[in-house]
Amino acid sequence: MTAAGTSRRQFITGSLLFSAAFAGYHAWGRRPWAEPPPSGELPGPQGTTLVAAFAVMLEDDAAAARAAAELDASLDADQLEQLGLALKVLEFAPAGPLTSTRFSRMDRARQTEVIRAWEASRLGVRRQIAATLRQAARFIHFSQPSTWAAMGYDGPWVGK
Amino acid sequence: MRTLKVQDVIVGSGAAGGVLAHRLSRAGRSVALVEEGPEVSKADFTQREDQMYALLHRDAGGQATVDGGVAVLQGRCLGGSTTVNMGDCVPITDGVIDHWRQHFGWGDWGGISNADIHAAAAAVQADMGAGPIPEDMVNKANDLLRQGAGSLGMAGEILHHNRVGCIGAGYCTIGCAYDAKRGTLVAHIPAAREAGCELLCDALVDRVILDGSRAVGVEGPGFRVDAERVFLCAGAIHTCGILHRSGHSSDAVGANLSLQPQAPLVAIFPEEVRFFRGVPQSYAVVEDLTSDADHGLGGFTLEGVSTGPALASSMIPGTMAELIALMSRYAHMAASLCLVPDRPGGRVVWGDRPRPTIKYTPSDDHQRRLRAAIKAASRCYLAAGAERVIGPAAGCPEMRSEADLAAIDTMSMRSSDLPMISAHPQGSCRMAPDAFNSVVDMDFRVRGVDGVWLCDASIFPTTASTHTMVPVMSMAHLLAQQVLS
Ligand SMILES: Cc1cc2nc3c(=O)[nH]c(=O)nc-3n(C[C@H](O)[C@H](O)[C@H](O)COP(=O)(O)OP(=O)(O)OC[C@H]3O[C@@H](n4cnc5c(N)ncnc54)[C@H](O)[C@@H]3O)c2cc1C
Ligand code: SF4
Repeated sequence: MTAAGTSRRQFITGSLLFSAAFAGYHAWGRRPWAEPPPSGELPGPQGTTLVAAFAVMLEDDAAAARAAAELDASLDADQLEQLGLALKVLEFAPAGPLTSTRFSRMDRARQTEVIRAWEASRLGVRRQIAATLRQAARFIHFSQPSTWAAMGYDGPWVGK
Repeated sequence: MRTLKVQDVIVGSGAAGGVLAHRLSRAGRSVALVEEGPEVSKADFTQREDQMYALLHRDAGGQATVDGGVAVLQGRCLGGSTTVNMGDCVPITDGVIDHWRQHFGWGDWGGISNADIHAAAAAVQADMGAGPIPEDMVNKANDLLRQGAGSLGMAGEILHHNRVGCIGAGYCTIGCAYDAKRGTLVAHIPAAREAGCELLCDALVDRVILDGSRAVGVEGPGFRVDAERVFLCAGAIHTCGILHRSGHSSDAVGANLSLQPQAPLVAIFPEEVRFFRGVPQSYAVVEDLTSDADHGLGGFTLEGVSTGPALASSMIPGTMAELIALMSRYAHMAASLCLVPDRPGGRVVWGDRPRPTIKYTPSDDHQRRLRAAIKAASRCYLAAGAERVIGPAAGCPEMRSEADLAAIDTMSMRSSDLPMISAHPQGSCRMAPDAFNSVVDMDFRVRGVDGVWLCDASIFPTTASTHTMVPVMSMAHLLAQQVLS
């Protein structure tokens, strides 16, 4: 098999993210894993939250949209379920349960404040979500050859 | 539905499974080697992080503890973790073996002496062509660590490895495109196949098939293998999952997990270092590493390491502008892993989801040693001329002189602030004579079921070595000897 034929699952997983945050949450009634879960995609609203969060992490809207699409396409159903749940928390309670403004409807400056606050939050769940989104966005972005020259990285040797 | 009938079915093709398949099939037994991950070869290894983490690593490198604090890296491909590891060869020490004998009931282990275990280690290292890393393969990043340690009077050593014909590309953890690194993918599995071993890849074993209390094979989506003997070698996290799905209800399954977490530390030098080229890990500071019968492995070790630009960027906190400024010095970076052997206090819990929950909290003692290790590594880099050492935890300032190192004493050790890596999960299905606290008896047999043997990193009572590949392979070699006799 070839690398190109592989699903491009990226630097993020269900276990990595959210089992702690949602300890009580399970896929009700599902029997122990018999088959690899199929891939899917995030529902539209959560996709919007993801792009907005990535735009804060990467400070570049186009790169954020690309990275979000790539992540979305690469996760399996279990991972998407967990990521979707985390994005809902970010979308609907960005600054605590009493906030009325949704994350994706804030301006960029406010979104950035929220992400910074989550990164330094006393709540482990928030720190974890923020750190994981940042890692995923940056892993995807900096694996692109267009970013390498600025780092002095001359890329793979195979094929040269 | 693909069906096979063999004498021995081996689940997992990593350090243990690859060696077992080699030994059993070459002894003339009919063997099937079943691997969840893809069949890969050097032709697949593109040296691109985005493609290779996805192809070769469990969850693309994202498997982690439940609080996200420790990334638990494992291979998920033909050759298992030996396809993505650093190739260092460090056998179990007498201190550790004696610790198990005295404190975990291994006693005389049915007559298997320390010399027998060392002979097993020698045999598997011979398979891989292992030996000391030659001086001309120590890259600049590792040499800087050595220079710093040397000028501070710290003890260190050149590591042993399993590379033959290495050209120093530096991509060992995303597959060696030159077959220079001789994990089971190169050293064992091809010879096993030549001897008739059947290989099933992309084949996730869901469970062991039981007839009463006797195992008669394994099955997964789209396949079934009937066998007289079942060998579970799926690694310290996923062997527990197979036992769970097979209805094994002992509380000992998943308990006593060690992760041996390592904290990465990055230093920036005025001159180019290009740590991403050459053998990534060739030198280790072993000044404070201890190993004795009373305590097992303790202290810490510092080892050079390298990483590609994507993984490096993803681990650096701060704004994008800060990150870009820092990554513009990527070619000037050197990095090390502060490796701190731990006590077995974690747990792998499998429920109804396709991924486990990995629970792990570093002990106070572990955190104390980790701070000491980070401080020692920072000191080495500054002594070697680094212009600065990047604070390893969020909120920890950059360190430019000895005076700045005080920041390490107070830096946050919260899981979300201090990213750590485990490449050596072990101990979750302990082998011991005590039936209550172990999953496996001293003959590698899973308790409570006939016909199932378990051999992988999960059987160790405590952390086996600073590097677990040779210890795991040694156990597989001993098991093969036992089965074949
Ligand atoms: C990045 C990295 C660097 C490392 N560096 C070193 C080093 O330099 N030196 C060293 O000594 N050690 C190193 N290690 C550790 C070492 O490689 C492992 O400890 C060792 O390979 C463990 O052997 P194992 O047989 O227990 O599991 P693995 O080698 O992980 O093999 C387990 C195999 O089982 C398969 N599997 C899992 N579940 C199933 C299932 N349900 N059905 C079928 N197959 C399944 C997996 O896909 C995998 O291929 C490193 C590990 C990593 C990840
Ligand atoms: S450094 Fe050597 S072993 Fe590692 S990938 Fe390059 S050639 Fe292979």
